[in-house]
Amino acid sequence: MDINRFRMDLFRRRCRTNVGEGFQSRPRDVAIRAGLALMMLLAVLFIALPVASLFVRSYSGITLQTVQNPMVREALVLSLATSGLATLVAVIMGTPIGYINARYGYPGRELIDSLIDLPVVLPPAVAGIALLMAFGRMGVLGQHFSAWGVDIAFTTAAVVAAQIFVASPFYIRQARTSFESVDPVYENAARTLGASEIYAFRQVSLPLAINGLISGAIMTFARSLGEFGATIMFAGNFQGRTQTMPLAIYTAMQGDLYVSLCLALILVAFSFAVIAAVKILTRGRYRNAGN
Amino acid sequence: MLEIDIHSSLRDFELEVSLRVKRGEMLMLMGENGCGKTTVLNSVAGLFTPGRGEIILDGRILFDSRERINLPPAKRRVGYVFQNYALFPHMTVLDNVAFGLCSQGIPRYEAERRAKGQLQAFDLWEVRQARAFQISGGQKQRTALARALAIQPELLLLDEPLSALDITKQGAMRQELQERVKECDVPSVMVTHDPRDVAQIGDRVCLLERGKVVRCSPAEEIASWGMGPGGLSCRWRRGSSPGKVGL
Repeated sequence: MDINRFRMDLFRRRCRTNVGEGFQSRPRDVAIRAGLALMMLLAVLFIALPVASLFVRSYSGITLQTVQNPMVREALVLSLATSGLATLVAVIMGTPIGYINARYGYPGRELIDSLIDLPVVLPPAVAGIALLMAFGRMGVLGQHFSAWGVDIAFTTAAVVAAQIFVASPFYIRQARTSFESVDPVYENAARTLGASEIYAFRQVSLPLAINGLISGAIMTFARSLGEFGATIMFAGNFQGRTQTMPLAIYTAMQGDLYVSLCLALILVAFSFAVIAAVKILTRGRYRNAGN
Repeated sequence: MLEIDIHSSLRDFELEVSLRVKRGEMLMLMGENGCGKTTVLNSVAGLFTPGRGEIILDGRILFDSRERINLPPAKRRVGYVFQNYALFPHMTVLDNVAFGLCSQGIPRYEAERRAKGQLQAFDLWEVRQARAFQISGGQKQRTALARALAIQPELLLLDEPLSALDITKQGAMRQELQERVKECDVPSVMVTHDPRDVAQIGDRVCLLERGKVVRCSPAEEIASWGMGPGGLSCRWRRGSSPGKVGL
């Protein structure tokens, strides 16, 4: 108790503030606190109000008929299927990349790492045109595909490609961070116990990094689900084939607003679920056994 | 017998170590932090590749730079107790002890049967379903040793196995550790900072200074080594020549 009192005294002296009389009574401090509270309130309102408005406006207009609209149904199915596939590809491709970049140094690692992150900062329209230049009918690779009768642009495959391009960096970045957070001593222990590198990865590194990997995959799925710019540039906007939910919202806005609102609400619900899932998964990490 | 003759350029100094450890003998390695003790253990375990030299265990070459032989850690049959035990936190105590057996391709039921015997011998059967982070310091230490011994190693390496324990528990654990290690009858190398570990567990003690073995003596002579306020004094080092230290 004495030590705690001493620490408090020290803290007060350092702050040059007397807790009993200073902080709360000064008008300037009160004004700063009020200002901060107001800024916080405005920020929360700025985010919450548009989302709340979606619900308010939808309440009167959305019917069962709206939900059963073929445009809604097809966009939902297409979005879930393409986002799921894009996430699967990102996980299969990104897990080894994340692990290698976390554990091994090689020439050009930082360059490759920056390249992987590029789509995150690239405007989606630029990503779309870049994909078109690579895989379009006259693109660098696409012209060779075309010669074999395989067209990628403006197909469902293009939707998946756009989603992988834009969203996979989220997974790869998270995978690297997750593997970096696993102490290499566990892998070393596994290897001295007779485990091959692959066995040690499968039994030790992967389970210890799994929470981070799952949250990375969820973020990738969410980003894929919301992808718009690159998709419309590279895959077009064909209902049932390339028209994902964001594209359907955009299209429906010009016709039936309630279809658009219905799709928007579904995406909001997904986004909430994603945030909740990521928070739950990143909460319970394993503690270091040795400490 | 374990024969270590290695040379490597570390960041701050040259590591140049030559040691022999007989079957059933416990060699204690002492020295200041960062003098290369753990690097020696890691070299023997295959977790660090020395620049040149050789490591031979009972005539089996683990590492030979001239012959370009460098067995992976999994093939060396070395039991290693890490400083903070490195118990797998996502596994139970039972899974930790059975891990080495499973990774060698032994069927799960057989691995668990053997692990059960090991856990009973180490008085860990009651906590077999607990996660590694849920057990006490002493139980962690015993689990780490049980896990290392479950693979029936031909060599035992211990990196400060008692340092993470409460000082009141160290005496009893020291006694237990000594008995367990003696039962194995394999060459053992233990890194420690504590002269009491040397006196009670060790057969021989060597002191490392900036990557060189500067003194070796029977463990019971540790009491005659000078003790300064910060631990071992350096007075006696003058006149002692670094280099090959055999039996």
